[in-house]
Amino acid sequence: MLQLDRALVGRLREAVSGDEVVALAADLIRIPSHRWEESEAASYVAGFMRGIGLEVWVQKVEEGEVRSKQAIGYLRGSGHGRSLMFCGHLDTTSPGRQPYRPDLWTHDPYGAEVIDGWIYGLGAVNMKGGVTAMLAAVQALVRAGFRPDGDIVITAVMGETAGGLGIEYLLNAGVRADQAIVTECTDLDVVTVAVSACRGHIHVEGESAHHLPHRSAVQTAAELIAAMGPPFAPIPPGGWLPYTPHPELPGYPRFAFREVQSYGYDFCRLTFDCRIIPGVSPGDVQRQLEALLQRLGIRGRVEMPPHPHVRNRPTAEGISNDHPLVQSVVRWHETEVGRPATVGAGKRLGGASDAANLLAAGIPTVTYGPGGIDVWPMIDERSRTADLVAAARVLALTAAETTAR
Amino acid sequence: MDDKLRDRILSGIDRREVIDLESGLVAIPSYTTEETELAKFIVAQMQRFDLQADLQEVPLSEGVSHNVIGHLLGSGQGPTLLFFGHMDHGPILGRKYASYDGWKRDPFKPSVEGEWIYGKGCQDEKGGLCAMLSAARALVRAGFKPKGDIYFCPVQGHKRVSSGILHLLETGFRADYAVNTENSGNAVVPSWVGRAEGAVHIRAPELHFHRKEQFPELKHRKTAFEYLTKFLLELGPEMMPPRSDCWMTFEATPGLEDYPQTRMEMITFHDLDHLEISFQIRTVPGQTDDTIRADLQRLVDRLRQEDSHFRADINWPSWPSRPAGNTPASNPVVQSFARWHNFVAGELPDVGPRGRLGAAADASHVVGQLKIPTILYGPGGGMTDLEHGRKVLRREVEPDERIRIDDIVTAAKVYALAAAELCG
Repeated sequence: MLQLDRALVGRLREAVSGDEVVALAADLIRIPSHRWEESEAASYVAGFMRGIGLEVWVQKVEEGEVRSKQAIGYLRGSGHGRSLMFCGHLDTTSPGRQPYRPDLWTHDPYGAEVIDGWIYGLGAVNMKGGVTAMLAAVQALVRAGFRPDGDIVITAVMGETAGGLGIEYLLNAGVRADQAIVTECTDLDVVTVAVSACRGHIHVEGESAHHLPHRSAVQTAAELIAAMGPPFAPIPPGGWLPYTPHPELPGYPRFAFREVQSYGYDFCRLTFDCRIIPGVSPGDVQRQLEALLQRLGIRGRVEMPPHPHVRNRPTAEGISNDHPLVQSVVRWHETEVGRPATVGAGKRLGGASDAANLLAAGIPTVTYGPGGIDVWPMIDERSRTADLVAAARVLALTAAETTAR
Repeated sequence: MDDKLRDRILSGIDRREVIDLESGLVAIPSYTTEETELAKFIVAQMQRFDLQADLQEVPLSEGVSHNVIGHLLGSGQGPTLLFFGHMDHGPILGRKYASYDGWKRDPFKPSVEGEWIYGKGCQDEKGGLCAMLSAARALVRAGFKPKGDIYFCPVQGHKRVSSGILHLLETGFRADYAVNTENSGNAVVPSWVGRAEGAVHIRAPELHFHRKEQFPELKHRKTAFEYLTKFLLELGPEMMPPRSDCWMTFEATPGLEDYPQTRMEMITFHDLDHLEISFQIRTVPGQTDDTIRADLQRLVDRLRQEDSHFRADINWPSWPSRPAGNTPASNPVVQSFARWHNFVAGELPDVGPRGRLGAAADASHVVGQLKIPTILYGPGGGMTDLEHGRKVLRREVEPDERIRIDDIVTAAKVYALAAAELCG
């Protein structure tokens, strides 16, 4: 059982200022950081971390047409304790694409209005709230004069909403820790296990023949869609993707279509997103889709990932509920939020995150952060300011506890 | 017609000249909207054998192209006849999409091999144009003076929603009979399918993983992809005879029992909550834009009854439709062509829609706008050379377009004799 000095607890609680937390979240919301365009937000985060005295590194991410940046900060420890990584993503959905529907918003997506205890804006939930909480937590640690034994690494990454190009760059650069907290919007559930997302194109071919009976690519695509079964619903046992059910991820795997494009009569391209569980890999999805095409007699191919800068996440078994990191988050959640924690897949069921990459890299990882989704599509995205503050305190206390010798 | 005139006309059609003319037509690329060079060549050919010939400018959004109007002046005492056929060849979107994958021969260097001539457009439908010009030459050579005017009009823009023939009609062209020289395998085709194209917009909320569980109101909602699939499967089966419970209302036309048919065009992705499917219908006589729109609305209403969340907006037609044709078999133009085909080819012609089954034609506009009794009759395609076509589909032989030379010669003779009879 980990423990923390009572006086330190008090100092850390005090060091998280509600007004500062809201101001920080507002700053982040006011900087547009649509997917692939995170550089300005990364610079802001780097500046913030420099301002509180961290050692800061801005990493360039350049892949294909993508030119972006992400920020990494170190609160150096004495070197004798366990290190901890905080990880949050800077990218938000892009204008013009679902689930962000600017046409339906009643608040300015970049206005960061605070009304009745809520802060509004694009990314308020996913996940500038979580980035705010982790930055405020580290600020509190510094302000409270806390010196960790293990390093605390703060990573504000890009490209999460397209499969995690940023986290891949981060891990490839050798950034590691003994344990990690991804501060994604879990609505303050303690998430220990999650699905992974993999995406791809299915190219189907038709065969047009002038004036003769034939099957067009459009018709062929319709037959394939029908054969795959309903999207956003559990793939039934015996369906196109074999799997062993995961007790904590009921109703998964599932898939959905994200786009469709016709190219003349003869070619049609379906873009899919498949949420898979530990035991099923993106490679399995590709092989099974290829087998399905063959069974249906459809000429075509499966291309995964769909674009060079999109990544297919590995699947990984989650962190044990007995892990000290989980125990620590649960306990501080209960003291700071004042209600028992939900542990497991929680409200993140069906959501993928960079936690999968960290877990696959062998880093025990918990996902915990403020912000829940209370409408769909995510119109007038908003987070409770009290949750941002509570999350910052939980993260600060957990960090202090789990990085101690 | 007296036998002397008949024989004089026939003696004016020479196989060697037909080959040379067809080769000349094929050697000039004439992608849709780029027909002017070919049009000028044709005018020069007509003038060489003393047919009055003019270019007709066709203004297009892409620029300017040209039709050709050849005119054998009549004395004004008899029925008039219009021959027309398209100068342009595919692909539909023009030169930059052209692919000659698998071709063994240079598409624009026509080659004569045995009874065949090869080259791009040789069959669709420069064979018909060649026969039309050869017939005109034979009539002039024979000194034939018609009572009614005979027009020989190669037009542009068939694959650009018939811009050439439409322009010709807009400038006041009229005739008592019309012959579209489209490849029919020298079958006399008095009825053919029309072509109509439109789109349906499908709308449904975007869902996300687990939101169905999170938000009870989404539990029974379906995605636009599911509705699209449902709709497509209701529309079809594609390129197949209508089902007994077909969603379209129509009356069967003899010979066109396998129609109407649907043919998918493309899916347009507007967003996750808005997909658009565009498709064609190969229509039968009696079907109009109004009947199709009403049929589609009925289909949409039925699907909405099954699922109150189904939303579909109909945009029909999205292009000008080409109506189906239905000239009575008793009409003189049908009778005359059937008779002269029998005489020239030594066998009864195939009279009916079989020679152009499923294919639409510029003729639709002539019939649709002017109600002129019209037939399709032209060399190549149709029920001829079918086995070769299947081999091309199976990729067993090269796809090089080809046409039988004798079929062009036959068509030329039939055109000339029928014209002399109808307008003499």
